[in-house]
Amino acid sequence: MARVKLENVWKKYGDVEAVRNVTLECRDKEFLCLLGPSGCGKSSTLRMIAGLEYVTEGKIYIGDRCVNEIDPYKRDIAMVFESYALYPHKKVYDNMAYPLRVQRYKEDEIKKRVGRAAEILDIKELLDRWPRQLSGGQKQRVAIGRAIVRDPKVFLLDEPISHLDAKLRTHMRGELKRLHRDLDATMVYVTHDQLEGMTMADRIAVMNLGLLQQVGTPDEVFNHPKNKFVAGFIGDPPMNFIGCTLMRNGRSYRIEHPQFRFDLPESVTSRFINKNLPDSADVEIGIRPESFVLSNKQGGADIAGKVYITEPLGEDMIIDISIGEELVKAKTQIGFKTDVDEKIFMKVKFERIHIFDRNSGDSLLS
Amino acid sequence: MPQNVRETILKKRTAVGTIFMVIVLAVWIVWTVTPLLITALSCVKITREAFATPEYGDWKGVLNIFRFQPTLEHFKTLFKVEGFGPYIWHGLVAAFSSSAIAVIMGTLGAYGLSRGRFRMESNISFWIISTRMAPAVVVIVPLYFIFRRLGLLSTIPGLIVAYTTFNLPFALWLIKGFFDDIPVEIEEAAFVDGDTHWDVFRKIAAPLAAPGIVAAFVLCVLFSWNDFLFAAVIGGHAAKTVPVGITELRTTVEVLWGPINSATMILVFPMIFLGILIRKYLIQGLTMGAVRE
Repeated sequence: MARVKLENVWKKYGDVEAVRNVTLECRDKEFLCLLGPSGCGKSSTLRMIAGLEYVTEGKIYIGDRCVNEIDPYKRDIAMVFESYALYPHKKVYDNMAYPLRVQRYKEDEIKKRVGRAAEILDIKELLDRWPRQLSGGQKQRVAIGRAIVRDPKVFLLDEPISHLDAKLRTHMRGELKRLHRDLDATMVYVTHDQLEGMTMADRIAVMNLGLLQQVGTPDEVFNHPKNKFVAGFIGDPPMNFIGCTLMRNGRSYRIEHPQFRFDLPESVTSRFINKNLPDSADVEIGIRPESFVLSNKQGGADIAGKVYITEPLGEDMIIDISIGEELVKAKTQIGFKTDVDEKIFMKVKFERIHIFDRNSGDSLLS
Repeated sequence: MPQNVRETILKKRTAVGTIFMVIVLAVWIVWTVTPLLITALSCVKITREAFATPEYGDWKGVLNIFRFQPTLEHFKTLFKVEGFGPYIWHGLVAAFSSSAIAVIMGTLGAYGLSRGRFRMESNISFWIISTRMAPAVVVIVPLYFIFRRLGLLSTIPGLIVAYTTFNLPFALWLIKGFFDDIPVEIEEAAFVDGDTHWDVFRKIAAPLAAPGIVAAFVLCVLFSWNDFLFAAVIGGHAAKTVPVGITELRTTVEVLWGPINSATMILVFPMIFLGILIRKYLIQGLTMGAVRE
């Protein structure tokens, strides 16, 4: 196993800058998730690590070796593709044996290793089938099997479960995480599904528009997003953003909005990165749907609004609330009694509030 | 029909449609198969029987076409008197070698055009196929002079070169379509699994394009084997093929209908066999199911 390091990596397709100056390290035996919307450069990054795309600028290391000019077959990596990319003209056994045959392993060793991988993935009875006879979930297992038969330095997974149906996906998330643990492997995992990143990864690298936005543990990117993009991308339903003015009065700060105003407690203001904020600043406050405490009564509420619609989810309920022109989503227990167009009052859990500069989108809180 | 087997709207049938279809197919079969049948029967009849036609209005007499004493007389004439044996050999050698060359070079070229990214790519692709757009007659005169200068006239290598010129662009385009259909990820997976580029081509891409490669080969053989123009002008005397040989059975004294029919069967039969082969390969959808559609 080995670490993967990217140093100021750029990828340009003509004038299009797909990956812009990314510096990132996947530690030995780490499960690193590259997360971002489609077109954010995460797949290009992975393909550069695999050697399927050339690096325009910068350096990529696998272990201690710079692999920029090294062909994929000499990099000692295994990759699982979004489309599984099984060899259609080879049976499942031969598909899984392929990387070993290329490396000229002995036939009995191949048999042993394919057997073991098939056992881990529970696909022993599929070995004699053709890829076209398999379901999506089975193909995906075979594709993973083909990756784990040898012990590569790094596993690269490109949205491996995004084409499975929701139920199977949930199941495979757990399976993959367990597999990572059992193999003790370095894995770089690309996905656009924040839930996959949150549930599986040791660390998440969030990308957007080719730029690395933040790298951190799931807890860090969820609770301490560095900017508005990360805050909005992670979490479901997404964070609510409300444009406000941050007023400073000596050492105390106040959030002002045409519909509401409230003072920020010391616990929040002590987290300001820049201690010398101007007297008045355009900001956006970010509040997750879970960070509201809802009530039908006004007492002690920070924000008042009107119920737009309710969305029950079995255990929980999402309530869409209009605050003047804005529409926010709040999460509460299913038993909460309210109706459309009724008044509703919200208390903000201040330890969970986020404040972003409206121009740069950067978080003002540490 | 034991049960109503209506599956989709696309398979809906009406009585009128069925009748219409049967009539069209029947006419089509009579139109295409009858000449072949008459030729096939005539080549094993003596000439007098072959030309025996019933009286006008005697519909029963039509069956006389099947009443004859089988004979191999015409085949004997063909091989013993007319010396047809070498023509078959020439035709086979020219057709198979030129097709092999065209398909090997075409496969390599097609892979390059399909996977490579280079300047003027589409222009080059179009130029290659454009060489097949003009009818062969257009180039036959200049080719004749070039071949004479090169000393390739009336030689089998000359014929091979001529056929390859025409077969290569065709094979390349046909095979390119098959390479285009192979998802790139399959090849990338092989790269990651440890293959060199040549291995990826040899072990993954070429086998997956095999139906196309076989189809191209068969069609090239068909074209070369049936060709008359090049064989007549460039093959000349020493590299005579079956179609050219057939025309020479029409002498100034008589038309040797029996041997012509026999030679026609010799010309047609291997190609029917190849036709059955190509059908099997063209239908084969090898890539189906391995990559998510």
